[in-house]
Amino acid sequence: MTTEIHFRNLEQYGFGPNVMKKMKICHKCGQVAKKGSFFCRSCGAFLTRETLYDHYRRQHGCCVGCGTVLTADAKFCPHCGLPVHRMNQQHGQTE
Amino acid sequence: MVHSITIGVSHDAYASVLCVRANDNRVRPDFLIIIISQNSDSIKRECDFVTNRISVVFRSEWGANHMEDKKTAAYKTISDAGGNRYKFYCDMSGALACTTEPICAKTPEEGLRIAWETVGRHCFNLCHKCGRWVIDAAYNVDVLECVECAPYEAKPNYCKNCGIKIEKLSSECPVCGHKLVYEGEESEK
Repeated sequence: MTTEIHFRNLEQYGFGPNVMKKMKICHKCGQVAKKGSFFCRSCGAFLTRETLYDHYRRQHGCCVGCGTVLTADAKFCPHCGLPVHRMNQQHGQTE
Repeated sequence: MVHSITIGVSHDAYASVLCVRANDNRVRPDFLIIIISQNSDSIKRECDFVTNRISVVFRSEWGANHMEDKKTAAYKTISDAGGNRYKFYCDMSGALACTTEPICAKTPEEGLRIAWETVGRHCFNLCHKCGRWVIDAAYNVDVLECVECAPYEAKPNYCKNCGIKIEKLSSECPVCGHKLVYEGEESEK
């Protein structure tokens, strides 16, 4: 089973990255909102652009080559093979 | 590979140290478990050089182990006519998962227990690694851990440890033996 099919199957039951991409969390009251919402329907607070998936990517770090979310023990990207130390160098040069 | 294990325990004023060593007399133990009676970061720092694998468990006298599964998800109590309402939040994302109806109970603890067991519990999943309660979207159902402990992994094209291209998918890398995909905390015990 390909990854995409697996994630689509998970989405049916409310799990998986596809679900995270479609939701935002209000930082004030915790209300779940849709990705396209600008204001929380519960407390009226302004919602940032960041979805739950963006938050998840920030927690783990991603490959600069292909965007794959990396585990903490990854020395190479499991999707494109790019070395992590080279990603750090690129990131440093960008800064 | 550990052939046999020697277990030693030492006690001092602040810490009981359980040290497990492989029987090949390596200087560094395979792992070190420290149980301390006070929250002492200095003890952990002292032991950091000994091994890279370390678990620190904090105990308050004979009380609850802080590393055990949390009894409930994060919650707020709201007073209402007829009792207290309880709002339960995802421990990882902070998302509000559910709000209970007013619950009338003799004590707040009993009210919380009723709220959790009848309503809250069914809205969350328990991470088997960190013990937090998280919503479905923040749960890696493949390994039964939260997505912070275990991000979703796709079928690997390269070994994430040595970088070798994987021609035929297996559980371990044919070159370095590293697990290609994390299979959960339970599988590593």
